[in-house]
Amino acid sequence: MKGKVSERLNRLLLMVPFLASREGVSVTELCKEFGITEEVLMQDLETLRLCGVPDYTPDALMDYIVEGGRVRMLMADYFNRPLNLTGEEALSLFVAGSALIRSGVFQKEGALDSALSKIEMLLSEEKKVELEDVASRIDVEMRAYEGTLREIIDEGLEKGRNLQLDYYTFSRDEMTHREVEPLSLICSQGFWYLLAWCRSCEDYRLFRLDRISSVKLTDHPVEDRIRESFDVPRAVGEYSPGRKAHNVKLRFAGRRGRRIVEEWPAAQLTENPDGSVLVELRTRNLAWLATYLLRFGDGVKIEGPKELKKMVEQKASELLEAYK
Amino acid sequence: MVFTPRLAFAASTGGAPAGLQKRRADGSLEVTYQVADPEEFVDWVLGFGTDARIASPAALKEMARVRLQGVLNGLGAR
Repeated sequence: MKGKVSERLNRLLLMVPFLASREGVSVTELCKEFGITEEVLMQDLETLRLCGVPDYTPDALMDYIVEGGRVRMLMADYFNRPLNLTGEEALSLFVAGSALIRSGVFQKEGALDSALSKIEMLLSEEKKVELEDVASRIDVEMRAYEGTLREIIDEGLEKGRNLQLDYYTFSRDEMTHREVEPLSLICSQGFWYLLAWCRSCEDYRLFRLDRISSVKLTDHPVEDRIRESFDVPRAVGEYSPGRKAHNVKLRFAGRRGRRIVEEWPAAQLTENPDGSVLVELRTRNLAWLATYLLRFGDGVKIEGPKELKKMVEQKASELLEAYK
Repeated sequence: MVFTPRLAFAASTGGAPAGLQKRRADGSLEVTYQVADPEEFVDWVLGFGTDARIASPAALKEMARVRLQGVLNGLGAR
């Protein structure tokens, strides 16, 4: 049911600009374009009729007309106004856009740069000064996306061809070789990930780019069924550790434990009166966690499970030998 | 820093820019970095577990050693 709702929402979000940019579209063409029946199309249009902007008076809602088998969208007056960004919106766009240009995803003096300049021209002098001042004080941490890997991955994405990866699976501490069907690139918390359908796992997987040791373009095309059933939120999905996961309890001195909550999906955090932070999480990958915890030094206490304590002790002892 | 052959590819994936690289006879990779934030760098190195270690300078090695000893102390192991 959840999937159907998100599919419908995606379709409605695409249908509005599709209709708005045309004087009228035939019912047959619309059904074909969105892969739906006439009945579903009419339900969608009825839903769009209920959409608009506050305070939802008739002039703030969208509407449609079906005449001679053609659908025409009537946009609410609000959408006919020229684009005017709030300070917060302009700042978000500039910081995110500038970070993408700096990371190498978009070229300097390219399309994004030009779009940002055009938006900047619409701002008042006062807003421009404020924007530049705030933007200069924000540093977005984002790894560069460049090099040979990038060229091959981009080619795979553009041409819709599979990639063969040698990938270091951090959670299992092993190198793996697999063929994947590339779908999209995602940047999260400063790291770039390739979202792809993994042929070995028969499921969507995220591959952190800095853990790909080599990549090769193949002649195998990305299968249509993979592309058609793909959407980012569903593919990334909600984290579910499964029944075999271990319950882990960690106590951090100070607020450093917040960091693990940012990096670990679904971790629970409790702040204690003594200033320490209790983090509870579930994972099947104790080996990963054991290595990860080494960086916290005496700032972390493992309250359970015992297997994790043993693993951390072993790893820390082995590594300590190298520093003697 | 010295990386095991297995994870040598990861040498250029860190926050600090990788400089001189030298492949050793056993396949391990020796890499020189210019480090601006030692704390952050040690975090990154320890994230490789036993697949990477700091060879010099002594101050950074000591920082890594203290962290590892701290982990063991926290476990009541040593």
